[in-house]
Amino acid sequence: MNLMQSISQIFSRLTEVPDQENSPFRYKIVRRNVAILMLLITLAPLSLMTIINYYEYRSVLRDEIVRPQRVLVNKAKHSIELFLANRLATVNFIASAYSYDELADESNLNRIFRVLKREFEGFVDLGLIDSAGFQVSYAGPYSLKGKDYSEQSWFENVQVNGAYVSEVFKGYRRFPHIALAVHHLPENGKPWVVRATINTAKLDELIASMGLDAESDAFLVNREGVLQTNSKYYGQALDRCPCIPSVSYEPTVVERVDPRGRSVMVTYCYFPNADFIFMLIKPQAQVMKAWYTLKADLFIVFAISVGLIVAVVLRLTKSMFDKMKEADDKRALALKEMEHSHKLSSIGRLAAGVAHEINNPLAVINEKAGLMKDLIEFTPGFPDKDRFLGPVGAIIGSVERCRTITHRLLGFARRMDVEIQVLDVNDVIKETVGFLEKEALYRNIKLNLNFARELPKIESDRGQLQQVFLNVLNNAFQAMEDGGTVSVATFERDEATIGVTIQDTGHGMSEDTMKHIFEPFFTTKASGKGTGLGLSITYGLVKRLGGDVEVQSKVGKGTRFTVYLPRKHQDSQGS
Amino acid sequence: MKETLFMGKITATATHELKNVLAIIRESGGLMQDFLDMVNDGSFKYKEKFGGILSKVEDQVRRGDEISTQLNRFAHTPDSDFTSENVPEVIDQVIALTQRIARSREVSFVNRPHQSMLTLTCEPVKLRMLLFQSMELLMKNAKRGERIEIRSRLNENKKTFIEFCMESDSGRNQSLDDLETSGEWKELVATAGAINSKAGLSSDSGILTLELVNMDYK
Amino acid sequence: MGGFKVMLVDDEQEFATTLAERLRMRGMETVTAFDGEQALRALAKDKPDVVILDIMMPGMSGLQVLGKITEIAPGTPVILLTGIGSTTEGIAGMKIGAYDYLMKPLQIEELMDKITAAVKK
Repeated sequence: MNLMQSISQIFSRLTEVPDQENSPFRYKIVRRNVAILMLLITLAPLSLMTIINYYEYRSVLRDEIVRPQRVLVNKAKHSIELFLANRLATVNFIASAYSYDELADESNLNRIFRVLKREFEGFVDLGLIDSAGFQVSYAGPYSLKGKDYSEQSWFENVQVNGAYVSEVFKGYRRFPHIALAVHHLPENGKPWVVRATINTAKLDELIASMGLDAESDAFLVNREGVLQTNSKYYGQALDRCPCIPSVSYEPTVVERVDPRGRSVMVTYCYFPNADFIFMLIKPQAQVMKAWYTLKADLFIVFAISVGLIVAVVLRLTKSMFDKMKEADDKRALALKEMEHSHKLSSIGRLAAGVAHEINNPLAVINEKAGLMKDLIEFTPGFPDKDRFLGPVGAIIGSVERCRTITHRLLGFARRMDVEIQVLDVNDVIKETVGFLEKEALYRNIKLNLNFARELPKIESDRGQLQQVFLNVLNNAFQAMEDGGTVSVATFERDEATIGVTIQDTGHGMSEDTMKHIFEPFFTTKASGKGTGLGLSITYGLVKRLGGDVEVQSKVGKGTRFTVYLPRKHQDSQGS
Repeated sequence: MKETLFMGKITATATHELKNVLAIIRESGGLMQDFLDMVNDGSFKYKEKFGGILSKVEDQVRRGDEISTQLNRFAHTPDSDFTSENVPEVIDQVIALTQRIARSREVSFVNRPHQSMLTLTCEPVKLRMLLFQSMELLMKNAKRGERIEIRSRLNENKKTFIEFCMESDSGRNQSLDDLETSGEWKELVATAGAINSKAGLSSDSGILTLELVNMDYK
Repeated sequence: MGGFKVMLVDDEQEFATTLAERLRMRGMETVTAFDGEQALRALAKDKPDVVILDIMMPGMSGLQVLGKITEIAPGTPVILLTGIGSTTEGIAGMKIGAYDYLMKPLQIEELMDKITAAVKK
């Protein structure tokens, strides 16, 4: 439950889009989160699968590798057991088949021993021991007749258990061997013990017949850790072998580090009837060779997959977010333009309100001056009539000028509301030029106005036309050094269209620049100066009014803008 | 050319011209007054009347000049991204500019700053727009004769709070819901958002709240 | 010219009284009102031949007053006064029954012509 909660928490944190929309880090954060999320949901199952496969393969392969070793150990153990049981049975047979007297006769015993050696390899000697532990007769390479075994523990053992298999020992014989003893109890008379020894060469032979490779080692060891047969790496028979695994009568596999520091796989099995442990030791590296190969393959596949996924995810998120950012930027631009017009209309409202406010005192002044004028004119014989009429006229004229100024200002402030009226383009241009007269004077720019007489009136929006002309004129002013000339001319192009040319003597434009000047944000001004919206707005305004703009320019000579305007306004041309 | 800059330039030129022309009126009036003062023999029967008219003209010229000055100052609002300004002063300016609209609606605004200096770094044009839009909205919403207090203060998080409080609770024409769905309100919220600020409406006496954030130079 | 009873409605008192004086000098009889309510009261009492009505007024706006006038005294011509640039309001007024509209500041001759034309209509 807790895990689920924390996982879902992580997920929700990763999928969350940060609030600050303006933050330039937003895309980075979102992109990072999405990438992490995608990597998580692709890499987590892959890693899990790899880990599961790893352990599955390992256990399967281990079984594959271990099973034959178990079988081998079991087989070897069985043949050793069989060998020992067989020899013990032979001794038992001798003890049972012959009487004490027959066995006590040395020549007789020698004959039996010869047959025994011929039929069963490995026998070293054979002897009869009476119940007192005294060696009665002996056949073999040593002279052990008359030896007293009564004090030895195996003698006790054989009397109690009936049969005895010794560990490997050297004893009097100087080479490792195993003693086999059988206690025989006839129906009447004294019991006796037949004792034979066999050398361990047969055991070595049995182990060698397992067909082990060079790196592997197999041997018998007793429970005290004394080697019973020769080992390739861990010493000769009767040396001590330090590693004694826990008791198990079934073939068991354990992993150990041997005294030589090698990591080894030990397969062993305890003998149930004798004090022996059979051990097969193989180096891990060799046993697990197949596993290591598989592991390496698995790792390579995993690494390649991870690499591919990471690359794909990163690329995908990058292209996704680039697209998203592009779309967002476009939207932001559109929003900005919208906000712009919003801002303008609200500022326009404010300015318009204030301009109206100015109107009130003007109206009062106008009436006051008018009243004085009336009084002067209506009073016959008014003294110094002209002296008073002068300033009164100046006041009334000034009010008229103020009216023109506010009207012009309102025209601009309200230009957001398209207001189609019949107007004289010459007048509109005159008004607009009025705004630039001061700058022209200051910069010694000559303004030539060549208005067509009897230019037909057109249906259009005064404020928007003013902005168009102001933008183009501003552009012309900016393109010129002080002392240039701007010529404005109006003409009738055809029955439906009039034209206005605005020609400057500025630095002109290259063809390349001309291609782009109506694009938003294109500017030839030094960066930081203006947003380059001017001419694109002009273009938009003219188009909106159903007109068109043409540009001709020569570098070094100047630029000529021609604005064409339709005489009739058509509603279909949009708002 | 940025359109606000364009508007500002036009308005600045226009108001400057207006002030010049109003000065001509004032001088013409002064000249007439001088003539009147020279006539002392009682031959001019309208001397008193003309004197009265001329002083009225003088008053109106002053009035027109004041408005032109305010508009001129507004037109010179720096068109920069960030400027540090004194909020109570800006409020004063916008109140002056909105006076006519307020008067025609019979609503008055009172500037009640908590401290006389309350500087804010902000986009100057947008700050004025936000104030104007707030006042416009409230004017439409207020009953006749309503007095709206504009309280500005700095809160503990160093954010500038501007509260518009109506004197009477019953002073509203529209329900809060109507207000919140109105286009004006949306426009206002958009303006506020553009300068990282928040605008909120409430039903208690502090009906409209603006929370302005210092936009530091980055 | 002259001899008509003209009612002037404008919240700008100086404007209304001065204009009234000038109209009187031209032989008109004048009534002045400084807001809508006052105008409507005077309308019933003085029965002017023509009403000159400012649109931009606090309280009842000129257009509201115009609506009332056409109700109370239909047939009384109303000349609207608008600020400059407020043509739309003037046109709106004409749609609901104003005779014409003029922009402030006024040309007294133009106003006189309009008054005469309105009464003669």
